[in-house]
Amino acid sequence: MNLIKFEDFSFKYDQAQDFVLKDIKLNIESGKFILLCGITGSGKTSLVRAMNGLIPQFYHGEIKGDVFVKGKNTKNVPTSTLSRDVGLVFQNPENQLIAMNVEREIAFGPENIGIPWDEMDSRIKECIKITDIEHLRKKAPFEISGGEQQRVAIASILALQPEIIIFDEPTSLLDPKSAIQILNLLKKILLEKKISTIIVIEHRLDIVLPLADEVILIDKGRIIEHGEAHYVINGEKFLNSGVNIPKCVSVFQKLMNQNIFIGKLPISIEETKNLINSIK
Amino acid sequence: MSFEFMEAFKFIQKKTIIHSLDPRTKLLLATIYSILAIMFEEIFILFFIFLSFFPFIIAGQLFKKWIKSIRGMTFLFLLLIIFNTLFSTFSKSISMILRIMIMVSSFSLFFLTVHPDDLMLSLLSLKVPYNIAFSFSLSFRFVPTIAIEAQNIIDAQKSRGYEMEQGGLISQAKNLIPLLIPLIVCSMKRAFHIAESLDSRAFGSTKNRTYYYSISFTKKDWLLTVILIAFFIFGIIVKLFPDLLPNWLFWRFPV
Repeated sequence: MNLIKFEDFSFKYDQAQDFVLKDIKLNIESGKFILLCGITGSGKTSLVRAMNGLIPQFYHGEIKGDVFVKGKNTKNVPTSTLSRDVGLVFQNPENQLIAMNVEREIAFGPENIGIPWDEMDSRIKECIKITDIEHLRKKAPFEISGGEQQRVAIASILALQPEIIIFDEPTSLLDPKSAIQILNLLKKILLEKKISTIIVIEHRLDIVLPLADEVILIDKGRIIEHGEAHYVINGEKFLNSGVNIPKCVSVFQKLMNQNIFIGKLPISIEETKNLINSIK
Repeated sequence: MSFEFMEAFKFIQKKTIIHSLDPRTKLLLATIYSILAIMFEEIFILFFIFLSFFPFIIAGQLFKKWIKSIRGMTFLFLLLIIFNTLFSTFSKSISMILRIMIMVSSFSLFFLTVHPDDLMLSLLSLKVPYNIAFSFSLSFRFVPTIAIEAQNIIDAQKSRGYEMEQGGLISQAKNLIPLLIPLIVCSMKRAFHIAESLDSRAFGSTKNRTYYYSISFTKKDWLLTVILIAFFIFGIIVKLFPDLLPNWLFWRFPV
């Protein structure tokens, strides 16, 4: 089923010179872990803003085409209503946490949509359990670490039970260890919960590529490649796009250039291991 | 620059009888004490009102914080003494100081012991619209964040040779510009991000909002409310019929 559908969508911010998104045609289907990558300034953040209606409702500008979220046109339905279908977790958790303790933070979304107390309570417990933040329950957002803040931000979006959750560089302010934990948490959420689709903008491709079902590659406001992870990684465009290419891919790429290796490039440590074993 | 004075208004979770009171009771407490402080200008009466506030500070385990906030106002007190003595009388300046001490103490007790989110709930129960009550509690949430940001900006500017505490009053004021402009710009950007994330979390999507927490009046609250109102009525009677009180209460400094 199509959850989000872009129909020749273009967008230019007010007072900007150029279109930041150009002729976007895109279908986001359910049950997928989708990686959105591209270099800085390629339009990744604008693309996800268009997915929950922040563009064009919060950020004004010139629009061509339409975006539909579960059949609703984002031009007509307010972001606060769309947020029940699409949750957006931002880069900086500090700016998303608005309550004075974690429990109230998670309650905020369900309160806004008028969930009765009993259900709210069970949702909060469930979200706290899945993101593993039981020990932080009564703490204030400024008392906890960046990784923990990001977990709280994720829990607070989960509590709204949207079908799609979008993460805009959730690990960019974290150390590598916390980043791995957060990204594994995302996969766990997809497997355990009834979230049907996860979209992640991420620069640490080493960690996130093995988790991804689909990859969308974006450059200068256009989607230049979109498909199954192996298909995109093996394409010319990915290797020339300037994104942070994972070690396992780049090593085999070099071997390929020198005609030592022919075949599909591996995208994870596991695949690399199998590949080397099969060569032996 | 230090943010010591702000400390007096920063909530800290503790388990005392004062913390467990309903925020509305504490608001009533602060309001009644402030009104009484404005009503009287006799030094002794103000002093006794001030003394009667002490048990609350002790019961709330706030003594250290309270001393800090009073110390933070020393400069203001000095100014009050100088100007009032020059243009009025010394007695007036002392009663002015007592007044301010009572008002600051009672409101800092309120802010120190009321959880900012409960503050929002009590505003709502007073029929304040949700948007206004929410922005009120949101501003409390971001006080520490902005303070950290200000400190970062000071450090960044200092590392580029900026000196804040140099020169006279006017040049010190001018020195604030390299601090204030980045701080305001950062805060505005932050406000934008916060608004964006509020929108993404269904803020304002329905009129029938529900609440996870609630506040309620208990026996303690009713008891204290009754005592406070009695105290207030007593204050009014004394104000209307000053003859009821012994004369020495009206003593003032000869200058």
